[in-house]
Amino acid sequence: MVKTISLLILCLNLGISSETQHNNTLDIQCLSCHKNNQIPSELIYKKYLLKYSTRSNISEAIKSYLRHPKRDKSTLPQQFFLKFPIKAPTNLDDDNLSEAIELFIDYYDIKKRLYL
Amino acid sequence: MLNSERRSLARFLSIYLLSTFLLFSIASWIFYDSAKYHMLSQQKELLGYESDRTIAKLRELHMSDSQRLKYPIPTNKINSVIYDTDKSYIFGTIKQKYPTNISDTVDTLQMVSTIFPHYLGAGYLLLTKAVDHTPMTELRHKILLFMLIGGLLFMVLGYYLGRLFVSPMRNAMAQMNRFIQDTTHEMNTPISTILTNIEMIETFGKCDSNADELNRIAIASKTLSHIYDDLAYLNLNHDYHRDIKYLNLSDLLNERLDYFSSMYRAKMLRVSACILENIYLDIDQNDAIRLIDNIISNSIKYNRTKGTLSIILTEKLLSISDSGIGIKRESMSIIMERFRRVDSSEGGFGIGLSIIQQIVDYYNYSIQIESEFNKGTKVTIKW
Repeated sequence: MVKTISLLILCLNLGISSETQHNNTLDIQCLSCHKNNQIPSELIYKKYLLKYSTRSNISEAIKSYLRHPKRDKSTLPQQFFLKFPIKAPTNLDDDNLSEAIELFIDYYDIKKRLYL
Repeated sequence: MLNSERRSLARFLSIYLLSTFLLFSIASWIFYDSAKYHMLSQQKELLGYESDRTIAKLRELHMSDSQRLKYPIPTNKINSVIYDTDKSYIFGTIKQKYPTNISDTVDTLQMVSTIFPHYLGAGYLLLTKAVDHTPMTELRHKILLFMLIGGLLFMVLGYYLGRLFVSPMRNAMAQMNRFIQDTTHEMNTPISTILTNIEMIETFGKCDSNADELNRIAIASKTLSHIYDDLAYLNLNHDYHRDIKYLNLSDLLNERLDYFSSMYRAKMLRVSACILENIYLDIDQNDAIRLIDNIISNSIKYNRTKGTLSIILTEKLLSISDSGIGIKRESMSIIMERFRRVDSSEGGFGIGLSIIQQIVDYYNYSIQIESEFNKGTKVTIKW
């Protein structure tokens, strides 16, 4: 009985820590910097959504931009770059980048906010 | 109203009403089809209006900072669904896959609008609406009611038009009937006088030297009397009151044979009569006389000189056959029509067989006419 309860607590802890780790990846790798520089993440998501519509297209477009950031690839208006410099290419490996992008899309996913 | 007039009127009315009905049906169908198209277009316009309204609302939602976004629900029982550019479901008032066929069905109207920029990620907006059949059903009911009222009006109009068209025929028939009535009335007295006087001469007078002449006068008078009786029968047939009684047909047949004796003797016919005694039948005496007289009269009239006349009366049938000119096969179908004569070599109006047919029909007897051209005719009445 004690063993079972201990095993359950361990599993729960592992699950929570894994989730936190995911959130942390997004926070550390993306949102923390966005917050510091007052870059509106939700607005960026909506811009991608407005232009690319599907989850796969959005994911691909973000990844492409983060790997090779260029003004013409960005969804932000050109005036934005008069004030802010274009970001440096990400140094995240492919898996972590994909994971962070998926978390970003999930975090702002419009479907979750819609109701009748 | 005469039978012929009734028949003509019925034919006219049926053709008139049928053609009017066909015309009305075609016109109503074209009108209904056009009105239905118009009604469906109106319902489809609602989808267009709702499409614009929903896209505007989606734009507002996209711009909204609110964490909870209320999906715009269309009015008029319309369902809306948004799909991304891969046609995957995003959200909607119903959960439905992107349709493979966007055309309308009998019960559903559909409309797909492309959305660009993709507010809320939507690439397509699908609007569906169940077809409201109520206005079409109401229109169908109105058309049916209109056709019913129109049909009744046209029936009344057709009846009066028909009466108007057949009135010249009716007048002509009435005029002819009046003429026959007057003629027969005027004929009756002199014929009766001649026949009575001939009988008196035969009974009391001695006129042996002129017996043949007297016989010829008697035959001519009886022929006239027979024609008179037929015409009077036809003329009074509509309001003739029948006195049906248990009649001894054997006695009546013998009596009528005796009446025609001068005629068949003049034509030197060999008569063979096989008449069973005491054959009774429920029939009006005048009808029975007209039936027997007309068959015997025809058998004598259209027989050859020195021909044969055979009469058989049993409990079930009366059969009279002759060795006369017969009837051609192609004429067999029309011999029963009134005033129809297939042979004009003898006198008459062509009403004998018509009278026979009327009596046979009235008493539900059956008549069979077997004839061979130039060989003879056999008429059999069964009851």
